[in-house]
Amino acid sequence: MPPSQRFAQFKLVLLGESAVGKSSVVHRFVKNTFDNMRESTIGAAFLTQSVTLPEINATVKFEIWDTAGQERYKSLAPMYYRNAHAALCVYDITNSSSFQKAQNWIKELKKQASEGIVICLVGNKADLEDERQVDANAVTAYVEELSGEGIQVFTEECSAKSGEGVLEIFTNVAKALPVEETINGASKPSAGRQSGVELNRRPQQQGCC
Amino acid sequence: MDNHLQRPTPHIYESLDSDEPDVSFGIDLRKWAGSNWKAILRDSSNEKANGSGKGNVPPAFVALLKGLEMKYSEVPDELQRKSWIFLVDLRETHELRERINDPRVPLADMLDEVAKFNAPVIAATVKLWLLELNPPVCGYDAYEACKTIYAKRGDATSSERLSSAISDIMSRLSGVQILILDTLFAHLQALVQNTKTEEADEVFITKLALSLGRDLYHHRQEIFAPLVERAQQAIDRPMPVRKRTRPVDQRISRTRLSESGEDGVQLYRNLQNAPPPKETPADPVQAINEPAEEQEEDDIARAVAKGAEQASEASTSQTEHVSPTNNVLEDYTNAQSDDERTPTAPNPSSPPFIRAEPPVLHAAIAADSSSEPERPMTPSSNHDVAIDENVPVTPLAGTAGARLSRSGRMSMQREKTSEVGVLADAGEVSLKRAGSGEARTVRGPRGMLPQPPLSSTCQVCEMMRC
Repeated sequence: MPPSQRFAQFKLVLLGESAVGKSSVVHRFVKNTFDNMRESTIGAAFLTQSVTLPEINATVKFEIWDTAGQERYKSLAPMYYRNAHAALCVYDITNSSSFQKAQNWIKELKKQASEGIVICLVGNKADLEDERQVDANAVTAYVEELSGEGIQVFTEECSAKSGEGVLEIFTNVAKALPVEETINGASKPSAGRQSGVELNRRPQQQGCC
Repeated sequence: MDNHLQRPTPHIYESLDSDEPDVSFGIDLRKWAGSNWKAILRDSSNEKANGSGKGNVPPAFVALLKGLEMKYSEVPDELQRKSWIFLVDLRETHELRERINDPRVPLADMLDEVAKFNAPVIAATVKLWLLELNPPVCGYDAYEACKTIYAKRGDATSSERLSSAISDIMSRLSGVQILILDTLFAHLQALVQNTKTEEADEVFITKLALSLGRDLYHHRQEIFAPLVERAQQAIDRPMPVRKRTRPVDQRISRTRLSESGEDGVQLYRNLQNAPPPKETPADPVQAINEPAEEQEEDDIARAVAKGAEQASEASTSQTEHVSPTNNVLEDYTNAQSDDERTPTAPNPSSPPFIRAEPPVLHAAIAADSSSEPERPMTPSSNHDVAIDENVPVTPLAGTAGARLSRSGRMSMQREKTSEVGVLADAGEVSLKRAGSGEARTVRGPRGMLPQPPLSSTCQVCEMMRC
């Protein structure tokens, strides 16, 4: 079977405090670029990017919802993480409060988001090691604590500025996603897959009422 | 590091009218209104003339609602209503969002883009636009107040109270906020009124209220009508005119005395109607010793009449030997307007030494008089000049002038002359004192003995006009 036919699409959302680098991580992943001056995100931004998994000969396409981190837009976040298959909770390793915010997002996701959502705790700005405020051991301890509660979260660090570790994060998320199940059960799409619609289909057919 | 974190951070000034947003979504309405206001003023000729009120609401919002109205015609009534109820895929919403997110795109092009989408997507984008406004459409203050109100909402009987509470909140919103809400709810009301379905209106409104304000819908007319009017007035306010901030001497100018108050008019009327006086003219010295403001009106009237008679005689008797060239006051008279030229005819009572006045002073006076604003020929102005002519010119005249210059008001330029008068008052320079007194006598209003309007009687004036 040609690789192009082994294809799965997943919805991924980025959450985290303002100015931790969510948009920078996404742009590094999608466009492999980095801007020193980036405008604050309004509402949310939508991008797509694919990751190839040669091990299983499959391509995973991410629909990435890069949400705004400002408190003002916190109420819009559920709209974007609803039916998401994966979430990156991003924090800034030079800002301890952003790590606390990321923990809050994880709690909210476990309460509100889809059942089998894959959560990755991402520490950005790894190039600023001198200014580190969030101890890597504390992060590991927190993840283990979550694991004890039955919540599977894996953690990574990256630098959107240097590009280090960014692709690995998305690759690891793709590996953690149920790619095989989605490909094999294409005729029987998962709950998350239902969020995609055919553009030609009349919209009233998707109505909730 | 801790100290660094505890430092106070400066509050960054954000101008409401200089930061023009480069997006249509997630804008700050106050800033938008500030920048749009200037745009409206720039285009006031072609927009306000139409009376359309166009430009008072962000174009993306207008395009979305207009696009919806166009789409309504393509679908049955039920689907029109359900456009606002359907859950739409976020990707479609964001695609439309991206296409109209540039505020520089003209409204017509935005409408073309909007028309490519289905009504539910457009309706969802309207909601997204409202959701992303930063601050919210009602602002943070009203948001908290609304939360308080709706937390207490209970049965339908409290609807009236709720309405008044919402009215109160709405009255605190700014113009653009009110106009946006009014535009939205006018659209929804028209939608409900124009569509008939099996579903009761109330059921639909309840569904709509899950994402939009119910009470604003029900009480739109009474809540919005006065507010929209107010908002429109606020937005249509005129451009502030640059005001004069330079200090202006507001003291009463002697040259404008007759224009400024009723005294001048009264003087003129007395001048016209007063019978010829039988008494001798008032003693000049006495007139000088009495400050102008202390004189009785009757005295003035009498003096006016007397002066008029005198001036009439003088002008007729001295016509033949009056020459603009043999008089040192010529410089001054030339600077005067035609109407004021005649009074400068040499007064026979003027002492000869006045004509030996230093030229410097003359130049100053001429410059002064030439800088006087041109005024329409009014009886009062004629009268003003006439007053001066018959003031007896004596060395003491400067004294009176100085005194009057302190008590009355004068223009800034004339302060120089006043200073001379003050010097003269102190008896330092007799020649200057006389000169300054003469100068005021010629053109100043201080003289208490006015003349009739010479423009109609003076032959010299008529000659000069020729």
